[in-house]
Amino acid sequence: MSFIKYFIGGIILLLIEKILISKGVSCNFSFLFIFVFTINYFFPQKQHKRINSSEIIPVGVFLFFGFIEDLFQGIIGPFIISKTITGTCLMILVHQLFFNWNEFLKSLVILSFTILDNLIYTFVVSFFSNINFNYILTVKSFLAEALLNIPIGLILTKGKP
Amino acid sequence: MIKKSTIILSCGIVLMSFILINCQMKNMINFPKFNILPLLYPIESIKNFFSEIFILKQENHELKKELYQLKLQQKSLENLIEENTRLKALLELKESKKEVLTVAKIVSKGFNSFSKTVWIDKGTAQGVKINMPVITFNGLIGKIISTSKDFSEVLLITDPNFSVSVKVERTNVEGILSGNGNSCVLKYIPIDEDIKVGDRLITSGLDGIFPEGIKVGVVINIEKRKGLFQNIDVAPLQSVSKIAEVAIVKTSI
Repeated sequence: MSFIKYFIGGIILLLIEKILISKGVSCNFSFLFIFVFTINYFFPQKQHKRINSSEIIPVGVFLFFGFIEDLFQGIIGPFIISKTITGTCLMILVHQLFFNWNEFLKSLVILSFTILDNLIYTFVVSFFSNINFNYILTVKSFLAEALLNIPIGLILTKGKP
Repeated sequence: MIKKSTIILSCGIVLMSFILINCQMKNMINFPKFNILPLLYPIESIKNFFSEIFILKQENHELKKELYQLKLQQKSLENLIEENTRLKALLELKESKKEVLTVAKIVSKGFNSFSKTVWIDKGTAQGVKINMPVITFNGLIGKIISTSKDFSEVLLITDPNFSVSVKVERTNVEGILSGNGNSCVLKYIPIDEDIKVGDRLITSGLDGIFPEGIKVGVVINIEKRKGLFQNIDVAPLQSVSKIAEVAIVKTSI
């Protein structure tokens, strides 16, 4: 697995995400990166699970990607927390549900984990600062981001695991 | 099953991050905000260049027309200002000084989906500072919240974290205007105060950030429920989605 490929892909994905957000489109492509990386890391080939794979590397990738995303916001921490927790939960799921993966389940995973990622980030930000949220708009954008991620996530991990 | 060490590592990262955020909030550590705008600006500039050529000719014609009209009005206004200054001096009233620091173009919307911000193409190199009011011809649109050498971020009037001290032009009743994501709300107006739909709001200058007399918005809805204050919805005079150019105001309140 080429980590340079993932690094460049991740940075491009983040730039696209920031451009789209600046154009008023709600998106959370950073979770997609975590999802695609985790699936590809544990299932390098179709229906072929990596045995005794290192779990430190994915956690390191989640940490690094969260850090890069935090650099754009000016506060280091919130994205590291959300990406590490979401990524670790995803790793647990990948370990547990080897035989049951299908497109419907993948859609549900993308939907629920994108929302989880956003929820953790929002909670951390609101816990440490006095930022006010318009809750209706926030929930709407969570759902929109999760729904947008489903087709892209399915295409990017087509045929896996 | 996932290894125990992985769970411990993840928990450690989360714990360390919490400590790190706490330290940043207490200003014990500060990380610079990485601004991606310089990376994106060349692409935006090329796109804007072609679209601007088409509108410049028309804009030039309209501006010339406007200039003639303003020249006609200027003389009478100069007399009025002189008269006003003389009368204020007689009454010993101090006036807050308002001066446009620079005019800036909006280059991008904010990169954070939780806040309503825009980026402008003027920064500390042009004298832009944090908290400076940002206006258009129609009225207030926000204030500067972060600056770099050539760019600044403007917190828009519709952001839930924005607030400005305002007064009703007709009655001089004072309140606080805040954003709610889409438009604005006027807070702390007592239930018995006379407010009508269509009342215009201007800055009161009491917050020490915005000078007095900048147009802000119009009351569009009033709800009088039980409690001490009225619920008042306000539409900003300047629609934030249709701004191309803004002016940054230098204040000395």
